[in-house]
Amino acid sequence: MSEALADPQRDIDAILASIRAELGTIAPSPAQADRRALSVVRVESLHEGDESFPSERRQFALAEFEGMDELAFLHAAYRAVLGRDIDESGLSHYLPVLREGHTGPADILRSLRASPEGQARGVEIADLDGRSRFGWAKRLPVVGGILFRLKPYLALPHGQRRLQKRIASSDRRQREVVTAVNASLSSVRRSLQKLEQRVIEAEQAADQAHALAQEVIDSRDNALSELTSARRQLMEQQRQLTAFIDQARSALPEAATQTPALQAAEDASLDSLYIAFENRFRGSTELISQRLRRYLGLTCETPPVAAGGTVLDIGCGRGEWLALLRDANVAARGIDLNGAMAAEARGRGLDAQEGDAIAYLRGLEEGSLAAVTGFHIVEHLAFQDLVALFDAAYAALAPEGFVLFETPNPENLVVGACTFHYDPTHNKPLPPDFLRFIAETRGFSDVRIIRRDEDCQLDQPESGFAPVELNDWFRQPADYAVYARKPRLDAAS
Amino acid sequence: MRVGVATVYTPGIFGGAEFLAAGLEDAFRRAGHSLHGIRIPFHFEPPTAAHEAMRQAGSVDFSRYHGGQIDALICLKFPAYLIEHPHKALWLLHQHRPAYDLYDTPYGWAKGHAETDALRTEIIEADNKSLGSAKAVFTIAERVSQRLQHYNGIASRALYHPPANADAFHCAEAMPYIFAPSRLEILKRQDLLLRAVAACPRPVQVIFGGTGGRRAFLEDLAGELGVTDRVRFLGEISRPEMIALYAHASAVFFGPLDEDYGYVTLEAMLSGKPVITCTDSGGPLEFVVDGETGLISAPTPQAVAEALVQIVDHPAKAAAMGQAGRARYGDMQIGWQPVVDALLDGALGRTGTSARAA
Repeated sequence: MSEALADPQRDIDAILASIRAELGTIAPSPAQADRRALSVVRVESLHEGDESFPSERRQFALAEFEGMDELAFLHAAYRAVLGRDIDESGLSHYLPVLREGHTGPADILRSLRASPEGQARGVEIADLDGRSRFGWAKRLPVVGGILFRLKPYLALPHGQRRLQKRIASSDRRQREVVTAVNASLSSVRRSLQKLEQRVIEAEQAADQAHALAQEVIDSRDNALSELTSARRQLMEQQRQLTAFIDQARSALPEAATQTPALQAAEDASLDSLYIAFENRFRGSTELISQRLRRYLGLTCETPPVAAGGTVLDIGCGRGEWLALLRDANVAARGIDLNGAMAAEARGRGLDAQEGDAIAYLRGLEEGSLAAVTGFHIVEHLAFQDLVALFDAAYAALAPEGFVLFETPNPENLVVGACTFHYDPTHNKPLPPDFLRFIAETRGFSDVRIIRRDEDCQLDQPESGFAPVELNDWFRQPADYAVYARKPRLDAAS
Repeated sequence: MRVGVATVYTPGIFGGAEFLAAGLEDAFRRAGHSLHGIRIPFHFEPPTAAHEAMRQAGSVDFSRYHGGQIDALICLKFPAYLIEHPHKALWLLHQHRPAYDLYDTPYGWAKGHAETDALRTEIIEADNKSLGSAKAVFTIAERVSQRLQHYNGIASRALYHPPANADAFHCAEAMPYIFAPSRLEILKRQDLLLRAVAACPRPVQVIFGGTGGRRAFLEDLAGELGVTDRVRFLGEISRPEMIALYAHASAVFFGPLDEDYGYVTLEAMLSGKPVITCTDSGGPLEFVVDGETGLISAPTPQAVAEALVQIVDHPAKAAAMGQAGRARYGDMQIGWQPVVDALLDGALGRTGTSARAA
């Protein structure tokens, strides 16, 4: 052992490498790697030769070199053509270019044979010579070629030779694995082909299903439009029936109108209080005008309005909206239950009268209005009055005329839970989808919820409301409006 | 038999004590006993936590546990050994060291601090009482027994246990290097070996296994001493790699300062390798016979270098010492079964006071 310790070739790194090779961990894992990189000896360069390429043979066929992995091929090629094991520098040169596909096995065989060492041996490789005239391969140098790095290992003691034999047998096992992997690869390819066939079939089936779905959608649309027109007919009949009943009632002799008149007088005494209330909570005339201005565009664009039709503003209050319409050259009339309000509007030169909007609408000629608007009105109405308002407006509107009702937006929880209730005459908060539902079921089309200014662009989709966090329920605009059109004549019939 | 093994539990800690408890419990199970692991929550900070843990350990009754009677209770650590049980044996890893050998050192409680001094008195009293009440007192090593005798005047017997994967260790062809596996910490004294390598007239190679806070220092020291080419620091190594490095070593160096026990000595003996250790290394001295199973030298670079020369110049003798170490390990009957038998006999009083005989 003293000689061994003194032997410079059995240095500490070679010892470590051989111990790790014994463990099957030739390269230290990163966790084990020393900060000072160990120059671990390449164990594969100690290869003791491949039985199928003995150094006495002088004739080979190209086919013999097929089916090996790159490392095995290089070992075989060196043994066959040069009659020796590949050295470390040859390995480090050829292995990367081969693995990266810069050169092929045939080229390497040719250049090995063209080297001085190879020419001296003069090995023949069948099937290789037909293509060997193409000269660039000769430029590949045979790297290394000197054995001295290897010598110490050839002179290794018995234990280490045993180690190397183990390594050689593990190389053989590796080749078997390569063959097995190739076999599984081709079976994977076969399955892949089958899979692709099934994908094509599935796509065809999906196309058929799509066509079927389209048919279903079409027939659903037809059914829906039939349903809508049936509903309109029903509504029409209902309206006529109501008119008949009213006529019949007025024809009755005893008309008990005394009590409602008294009631109206009592209510009028609260009118001035309500004006004060409006001033406090609803906002000044200027502020309201500013808020209402956004609806001017869509109003003026409406065909019956553009044709000079009249807009009726119910609950016109102090006439902010009427004034805006007048300034935009739109014919407008207002009606308000609050006599004091109507009087104030008239005082500003606007066409406003005191009265009940529903009754007034019912008294109008059918199709005589271009639009019916109402700001902060519908939340004051009981349910049957709300429905009656939609119905009466529908009857009074010309085709393509619209209703527009603005109301506090309960999607803003502060509005719904708190500020809505400031007004003692409010009935209950109306969620947007609820008003949309009323409008749709009472025969209107193109129903739209206007939450933000951009919703006034009728050709753009609605902004909608999709809360993702709690705060979204506090950021919604405090008011919204429902906009709905009476369908065109051809659509309605 | 229903056996309880009581030790302490500190969340996040798994070290030698936890390994020992797991090994003991496994040994009891393999011996066919029904095993109940008992863990007393314990942590060192603040010092008064020890007081509370003592109170808690002293107040619980584990004689009935998990729906049955515990026939024998084995306690490993402070304050778990304060648990009362009629058939109790102690197998002491160490006492609460801040109150004993670490007291009045930078690693333990400072002297003259009223709170910790009172606690120290309390601990020593409780130890005397509970150690006295145990049927038998064992320790993991002679060093621990010596301390127990010194501080508490209590006799005990050292009971050796095998390292992990004891069966996997083997001897293979010796290669020219010294193996020095250990954490790279100051008390393990790897610097002593480096200086010895530098002082050695023969070109000795050393492989260090293990990580630790002193790695950079040791690497720099190797550079200063001009031995960088002949030493390698592998850092963290896997168990199989460590076993292979033991198997091929010419000798194993393990020269810590006052080690309690030290698995390295046992692992080297199992691998049939001579152990180079020092006269003040503690635990290893219980196993290494100077000149027969290894070499015990003074803790100086020159003395250790001389030991290295012995190994290098007389490889046949080194190999023979390794084999003698392997044989001694066999003779000492170090194994889990003897530990289990001795602890149960002690707890059940089957050997009377013989366990007390040091």
